[in-house]
Amino acid sequence: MRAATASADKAGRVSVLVDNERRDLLAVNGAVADDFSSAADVGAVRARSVFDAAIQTLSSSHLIEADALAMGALSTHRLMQGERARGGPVVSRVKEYLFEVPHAVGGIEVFGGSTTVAVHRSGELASIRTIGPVATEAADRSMVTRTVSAEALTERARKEHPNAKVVSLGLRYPWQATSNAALAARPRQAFQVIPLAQVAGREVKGRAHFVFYSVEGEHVAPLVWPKANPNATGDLRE
Amino acid sequence: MKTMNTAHQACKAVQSTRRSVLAAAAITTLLASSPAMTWAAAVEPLSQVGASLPVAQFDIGAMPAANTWSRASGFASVLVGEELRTLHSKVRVPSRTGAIPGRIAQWRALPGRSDSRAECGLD
Repeated sequence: MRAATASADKAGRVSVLVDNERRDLLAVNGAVADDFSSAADVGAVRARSVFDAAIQTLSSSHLIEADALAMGALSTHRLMQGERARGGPVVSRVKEYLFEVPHAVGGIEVFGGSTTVAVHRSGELASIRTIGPVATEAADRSMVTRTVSAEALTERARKEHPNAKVVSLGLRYPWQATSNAALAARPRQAFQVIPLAQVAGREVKGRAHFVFYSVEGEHVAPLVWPKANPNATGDLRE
Repeated sequence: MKTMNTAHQACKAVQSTRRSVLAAAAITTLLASSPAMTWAAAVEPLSQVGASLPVAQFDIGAMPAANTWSRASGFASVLVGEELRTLHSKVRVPSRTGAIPGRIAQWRALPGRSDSRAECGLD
């Protein structure tokens, strides 16, 4: 009976947030995600196996397609929690192990599309989030043909951003950078651009943005994300 | 001198073992990353000028409500596992919510947001 009550509590605290426009689906198990006090920590290796099992289940349930994940680009993070016993020092420990896998089509990552699984330190699933559209091969079987080399586009990116550090990311479907489905469907050469400035003799890095160059024409205007707001007034706080 | 030689031999043995462990780790890493190598091979063609790749087609725009229901309930089930499925068979779902019986029992638009944004919870 107690188990049934506990189970009912658990069920009552599951919520799923959906943003259909962004294809953003976040499922959170509140009973697990709100657990800050458990002493157990299964460790990163065990957490990874919980993540693998979750991906397997999602895939077999057709909630995600395993071949639409760039598992080779899996990134792992840890969500930490800080705590202090009365009068004692501040101690931080792992709350959740986060595993983020970019979405991919034919091995090319979809910029902005990813599936993230959060494994609580107790070894239970805390949340699953997936962002990004479902992709298929175009019905008309049209092709993208590269006419501009990656080296030429790297040179172009550096030339167009002389006062910035330009980091080459490789090919990406620029889904997040455009609302135009036709543009999103063709992979582009992606770069992260980090503006650099000298302030009082020190190098200062500005907020980074991303540029996406067409591989099909050297004079095609790049996609830029996020776009600067010319009316922005900055932070007015003193 | 003999002690030093023994120590040297012991040190070499440790180094040899360490190399074996490192080699084993390298092989494991290689095996673990083999899907990535497959992906890399798939990307390879478009890295050369003149190479082609089929155009993708993204399903952009709002997802049909039925698909959203199906996905939301599926994710919730994965999140809580078997234990909840047993419980769900006993859950009475109010018909006014229009929910899938035994699955998600609430579906409401969040205040101030468009209809496409919604929250659902398990009853």
